[in-house]
Amino acid sequence: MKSICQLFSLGKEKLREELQPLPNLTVYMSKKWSLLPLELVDKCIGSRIHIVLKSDKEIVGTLLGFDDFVNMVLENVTEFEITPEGRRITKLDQILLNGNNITMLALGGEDPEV
Amino acid sequence: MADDVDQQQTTNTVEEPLDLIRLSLDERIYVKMKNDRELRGRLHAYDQHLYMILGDVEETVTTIEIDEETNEEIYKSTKRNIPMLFVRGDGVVLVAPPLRFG
Repeated sequence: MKSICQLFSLGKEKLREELQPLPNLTVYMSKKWSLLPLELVDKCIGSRIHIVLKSDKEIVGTLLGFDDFVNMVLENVTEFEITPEGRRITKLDQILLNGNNITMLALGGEDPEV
Repeated sequence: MADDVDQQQTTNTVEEPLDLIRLSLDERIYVKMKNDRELRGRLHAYDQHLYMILGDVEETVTTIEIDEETNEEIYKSTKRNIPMLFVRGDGVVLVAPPLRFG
């Protein structure tokens, strides 16, 4: 495994080869269900998604894309802070949300107007 | 992408902890998560990272408020219903059949 400095010097294609994403080797699904967890998230690209973070914060936005680590690119984002009971910041344009902080994604819901 | 995936296991015996969860597929389960959260929903799919898909979920968040005057702890729980939920594995503490009362 190369060091970060060595990875920086590679071109895009070579970088893809070096950084193998976590392979989703085994998925268990009920017989009535046909979607892999990440495939389900993929189906939500383009619609509103409600993200619950590990802290008492929730992000609602339109899902533009994500990767194997569930880092997410969102737009028309509203950030909700749970304890103070109110909408905090409305961010437009696009954000990249680090997947490390995500607890869960609520899919296919209506906009929560708190 | 789906080609790399080993879907239903061919064996029906319980060999490892993840197999115990497999017995609950398509059943309602109880999930305890970090940050005092609990989920009750129908398990549709999961993987070895415990990324899970739950349907018809009821989420319960429990908070402790301290009364300023009496200094006693008040346990409050907030519930909400979510039709379809994707859960990231690193927040999961335990997975069990729904708790029965009595």
